[in-house]
Formats: sequence, structure tokens, C-alpha cells
Amino acid sequence: MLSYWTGVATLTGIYLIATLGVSILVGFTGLFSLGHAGFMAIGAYGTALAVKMLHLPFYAAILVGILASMLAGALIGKATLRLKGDYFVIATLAIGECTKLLIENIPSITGGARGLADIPRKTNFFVVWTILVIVVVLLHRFLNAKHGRGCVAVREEELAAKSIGIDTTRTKMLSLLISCALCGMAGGLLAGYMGYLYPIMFTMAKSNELTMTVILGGAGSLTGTILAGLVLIPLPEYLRIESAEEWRMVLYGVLVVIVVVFKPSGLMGNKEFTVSGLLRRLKKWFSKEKRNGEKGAGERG
Amino acid sequence: MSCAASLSVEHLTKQFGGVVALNDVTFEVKPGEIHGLIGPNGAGKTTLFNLITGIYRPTEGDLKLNGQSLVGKESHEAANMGIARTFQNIRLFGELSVYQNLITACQKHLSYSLLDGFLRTAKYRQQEREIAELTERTLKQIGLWDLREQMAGNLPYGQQRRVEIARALVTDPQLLLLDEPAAGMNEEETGKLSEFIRSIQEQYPVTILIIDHHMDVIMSICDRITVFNFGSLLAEGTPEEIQTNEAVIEAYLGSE
Repeated sequence: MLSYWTGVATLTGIYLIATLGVSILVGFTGLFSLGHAGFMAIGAYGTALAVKMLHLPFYAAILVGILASMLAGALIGKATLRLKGDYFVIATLAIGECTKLLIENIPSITGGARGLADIPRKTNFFVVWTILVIVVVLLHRFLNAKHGRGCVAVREEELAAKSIGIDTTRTKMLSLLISCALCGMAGGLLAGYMGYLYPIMFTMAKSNELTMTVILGGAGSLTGTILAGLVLIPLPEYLRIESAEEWRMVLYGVLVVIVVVFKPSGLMGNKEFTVSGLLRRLKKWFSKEKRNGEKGAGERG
Repeated sequence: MSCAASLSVEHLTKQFGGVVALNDVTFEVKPGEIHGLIGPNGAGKTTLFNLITGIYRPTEGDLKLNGQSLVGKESHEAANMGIARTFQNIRLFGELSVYQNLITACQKHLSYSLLDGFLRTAKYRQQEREIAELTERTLKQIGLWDLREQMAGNLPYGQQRRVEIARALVTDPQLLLLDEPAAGMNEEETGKLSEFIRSIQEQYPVTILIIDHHMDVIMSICDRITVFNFGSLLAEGTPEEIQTNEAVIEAYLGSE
């Protein structure tokens, strides 16, 4: 039973790394994506094939996966990020679907729909969560530096971002590459943890989950993404009682509707969750309570 | 600190298909002056701003900042050469605080790399400290320090204008373009704005080019004024000269 929950936690960690990548792109830079599971697939198959065919050690192979994913990102970014309008979203949709179709249709290399098995299992809970913590620290630093602030400026008001000297196309490309690198890495870790890969692990539904988790957590909040990820990614496991799993998408839908109606900016909005912020909130709340109490007492007197 | 720049507009023409927005316009903005740009709606004033800031490319002619051509520069390159602007319809980073709006605009003063940011090197810390000081100084000078925590999009209109100007100022511009800063303001507010713009020119070494329809603002603060009509230059001169210029009066009020 314990090993079961360790497994759930490990997978949650892996998908959280991918979700954080999508958070930088969708949440902080304001570029919508419908195909980031495709970048995960490229990372996963890149890693697995580098191990199986090139006989690289696992961590060098992950690097191959990351680079392959970034290369795919650079190609669609180069083609679409300069354009105004929805071209980028369409391109991400295309890359998500094309990757899956390509994997299914080159069975000699990828194993096709039957999958790719016998990948050496080299990752575990500790490796994944150590990487996750490092990723969170690095992203936090990124967002508090020049380049991260540039991303937020592009999301908020592109023309104004240009007018203060930000190269918006480059900034978008950087954000896309970071998201591709993280999704690629998550894919590689997935390959190394599961030991096998199937194309149906990387469907459009998975892409939507990644983007949806970011939006539910609050676009523009790293802690929001983490909180939403910790709740939503292991959701199918909580619901594994009888056939409740099938209700997962229904629950997702209900959650989206609830958030859109009651808190359109997501769980955390664009604010970060901090201990000092929480204390400040509590203090404010208590002093209000106290004031109300005193007022009540005064009226009675 | 940079010094105020000169701007020369030389035979500038901009056509959108068959529409001639600007037709062979030539004039000069001298370093350190407040230069007004007026004319009826559709005269091509904002088009000129968009040409200067690289949003549009001129069809013909040249634009020079301190003798250096601006033609073919992207918006962000123009900004890095020392041109800052505000927009006719305010464009703030609405969901960020006033402080974050300004600190984001300090981009130009930061030369550290992506890696420096990840590792928080000495270079990163040093430069971040510098822009924090610059932001604090600017907010205090402009009188926005008390509002620094407020979300920019929630501020009243007049304050948003000030934040937008402050954001332009932290980029350390040599040429500041103000596109209708007094739009939608009442008499009292425009009076304050005039004082504010004059105080900017006293505190910062910057050339200001201002578009507005409020004649009281333009006449009271501008050193020189250029008048446009239907994309062409109609008149140029000091406020006194413009007020008595018959061609200008005719364009605005019609002839007898």
C-alpha cells in the first residue's frame, strides 16, 4: 500500500514539473497551449530511444529528450510567435496531435500503438521530488529577474512591453523553450519511472489537463499552479473506487465552472502564497473581528 | 543620466494603401524643449508617434534621433535608443502594482544574463539593487510612492496617466512622447497635468513631444508648436505665433 502511494506521489511530481512549464507559458506569458503533452511525448520517447538505441546513460538520455523537445518548440515558435492572433495555439494543437500520430505510425522505431517497453527504470520518488524542488526554486528566481518580468509584461500589455524596450518575440520564445524543456524533462522522467511508454499517455486530454491545472490554480501564480497540481493530478487515484474514475472529467468540468463563476482569476489569482501574506491576512481578519466585537459591545452599552 | 535628444523629421510620408496619413512632413525638435503637436482629428499626429517608435515603417523620408536614423528599427530597439512614450488609451500593466510596473520598465538598465538570474550572482544583486533605488527615487519624485502597492488598473484615471509617465521616465529616455495626456480630464486636472509636465522637464534632461487637444495645456507649456492638417504641415512656431496664425485659425474654425 505504501509503495502504491509513493508511486502516486512520484507521478504527481513528474506531472507537476510539466505543469510548471506550462504555467510559465500560459500563466505568466499569456500564450495559450493545447498541445504540451506532445512536448512531453517528444521528451519521453527521445529519452527512451536514446537509452535503448544509443545506449546512453539515463541522465544523458534525459538531456537528449529535453533538447529534442526544445527543438520542436523552437520550430513552431519561429514560425508562429511573430504573428498576431491564434496561430500559436493552432500550432501547439497540431504538434500535440502530430507527435502522437507519428509515434503510432512508425512502429519500427517507437513500437507504434503497442508501446515501447523494457526502458531501464532509473528514477524514483526522491530523484523526482529533488528535481521538482530545484525547478520551483529556479522558476521563482526566473520570475524575479529581468527575463521573467519581461514575460509578465508581454502577458499584461504587449505594446507597452515593446515601448519599454522588451523584445517581445524573443521573450515569448524564451518562455516557450522553458516550458518545452520542463515538459521534455517530465517526459524523460516518466519514461525512466514507468519503464514503458504508450502513445495514449500523451493525448489531447492530457494537454488540456496541463493547461487547465494552470488556469484553475491561477494564471500568473507559481504557488497556485503547485496547489492545483497537488490536488488535481492525483485526482484519478482518489477516485479509483469502483468506476468513479470515469467521473474524473465530469469533476474537472464542474471545477472549471465553479472557478469561472466564483473566482475567474483562479485559486490564487496572480498572487503568490506566502507565509507572511497568510499571517497578514489572518491579522487583518482578526482585527476586523475584534473591531466588530467592540462595536457590538458599544452598541449594547 | 542621458541628455536630451534632438529629433529631425525629414520629408516623412506614410501611406496606408491609398490613404496618405502623413505627406512630406519636415520639422525639427530641439534638445530639451517641450514641443507641441496639434491638429484636427485624423491629421496624422499619432501616426507620427507610431513611426517614431517603430510600430509603423515610413513609406518615404527619414527620422533621426541625434542624427541617427530610426527607420527600420523595431519598437524595442527604438526604446533602447532612448525613446519612451505613453499611449492615447492608457496601456499599463493593469494587474501589476505601481511598483512592479516601474521595476518591469527598468529592463534597459539590466545587463545580466538568464544564468545570472537563476544563480543570483553578485552582478544580479548589484543591478537589482540599482533599479530598486531608481524606482523608489522616481516614485517619490512623481509623488506616487504612497500608491506603490496599489494595482495599477484600479487607480483613478489621472493617477494612471502619472504612472504611465513615471514608467516611461524610469527607462531614462532622451525623448519622451506623450500622446494626449490630458484626454478625458477636467479643467482642474489639466492644470495639474501642465504643472506636472513642466516639473518633469525641470527634473529630467529630456526632450518632450506632446500631442493634445487641450489648447490651454499646449499653449501654457510648449516652447514650440507644430500644427498638422490632413497629414501635412500647416504651421510651426511659438505659442503666440500659432495663436495668431490665420491658416491655423481657418483649419480649426473655418474661414469667413
